[in-house]
Amino acid sequence: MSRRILTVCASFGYLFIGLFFAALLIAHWIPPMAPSWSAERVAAFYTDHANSIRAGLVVMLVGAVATAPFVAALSSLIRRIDSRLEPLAAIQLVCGAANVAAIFVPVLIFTATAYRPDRSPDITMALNDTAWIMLVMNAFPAVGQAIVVGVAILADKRPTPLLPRWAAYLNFWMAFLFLPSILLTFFKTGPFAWNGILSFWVAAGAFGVWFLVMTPLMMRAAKRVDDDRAPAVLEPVA
Amino acid sequence: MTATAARTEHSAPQRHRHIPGEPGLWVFLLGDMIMFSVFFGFVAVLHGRHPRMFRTSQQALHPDLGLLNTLLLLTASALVARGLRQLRSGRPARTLPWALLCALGFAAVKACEYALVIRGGHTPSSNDFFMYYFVFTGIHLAHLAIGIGALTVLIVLSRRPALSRGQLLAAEGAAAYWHMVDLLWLVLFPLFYLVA
Amino acid sequence: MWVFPVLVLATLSSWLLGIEGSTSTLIGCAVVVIALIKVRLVGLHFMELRNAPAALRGAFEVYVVATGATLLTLYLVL
Repeated sequence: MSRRILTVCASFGYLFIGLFFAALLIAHWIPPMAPSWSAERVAAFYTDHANSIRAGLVVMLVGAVATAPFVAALSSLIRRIDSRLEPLAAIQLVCGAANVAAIFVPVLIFTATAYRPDRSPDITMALNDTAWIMLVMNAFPAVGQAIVVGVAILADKRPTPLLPRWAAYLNFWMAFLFLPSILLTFFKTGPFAWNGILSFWVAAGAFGVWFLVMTPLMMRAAKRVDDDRAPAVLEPVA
Repeated sequence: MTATAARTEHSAPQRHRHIPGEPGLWVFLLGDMIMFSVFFGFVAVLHGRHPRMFRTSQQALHPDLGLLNTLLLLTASALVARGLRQLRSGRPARTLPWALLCALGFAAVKACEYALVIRGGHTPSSNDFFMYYFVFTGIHLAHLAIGIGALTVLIVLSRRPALSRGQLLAAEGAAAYWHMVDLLWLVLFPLFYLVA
Repeated sequence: MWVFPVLVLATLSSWLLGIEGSTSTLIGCAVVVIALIKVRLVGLHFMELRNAPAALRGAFEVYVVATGATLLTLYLVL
């Protein structure tokens, strides 16, 4: 039973990535708006695309929740690598939960921004800035998550580890790719701005790759865990 | 497996194909190097778009300090390569602490140069050249800091009488990481300091 | 070991080329090419990739060539 639960939970990684990137497209956020836009241009964008932005945000809200089972499966697998890794499983869970919030909160602020696009453009711009900064500069929980997952994989001393060791190094690399977005606070143009190559495109790409690589690895690992059964029905005495 | 056994495995490098460190590590090393290539590309694009700003900003850097740092890293790399060979053959690897000294020297020189550049009135917000300069060399310096950790691991391992197979792989991985720190600087240095 | 002296000589020569402050594209490209030759030497000899399996060594060689080609193109075209 636990195998099937783990597999299903892990497969939510695919669902999340599908919903997340579909939402970005529906909301016209690929390519993202530029922080250098004037208030009028930002307000006009929300007026022109009001309903597709609102719809995209609803999709992303659903997607954010889809990370919960994925993160739970990952913690469960970490615990099965070695029960002494319990603290690492807990850190992963905390960071994963923070990631849900890191998507949820900016999405709700975006929703508020798109709610009355005809208000004063300055207010729309302030809300839009807030939401974009929260959506892109939220990398730190993901950095912590990637590092902890990498450490847990390397701690697996069995001849055939539950998750392959190269995945640990991939996690470390991902942690590095998520980092540049913390510089966006200083820039309105260039590679570190929130629509920049390093802050947005590389980080978003790495985010996608991380889920697309970890999901099948976790589903394969789920097949190998002990299938401890649910409390069995008592056999009738013959 | 001890170092003696490992020696037979490594003594014929010409005939024997061998991945330095554990294979998965190369996902990180090559990935990191690709990311830095993107950084290099940004510097080249900036140079192409704003050649005059690039050249005048460049004059505020200190190429002599950059040269010194390049030589420090190259020396450290040569010492690490030599130390690793000694480690494999079971001889004492006395060169490794000197490599660590070079690495610390690089960090000290870099700190001096940052201080000189900032005292010259140039900060990351001055223009795009200094933004790239501080951010990219700063990220490189962070890699060097991790490299200092890797060198420390190497030194600790070199103090052991014999190495297990896992420890030997860790030593090779630490050395390979260090060489990557060197290799990335070999491109960063000319792009910022030399190409006018 | 000939690699270390070669690397030092290459560093000094590109430094001499660079501090002239010449704005010639040719010198800029020469400096880039020297840098990537140094990268290749470090990879093959210090990182010991010359003894690595073909896939890993090939990936490194492709990295060096791709990085060099990209940089040269950017310097020549822009």
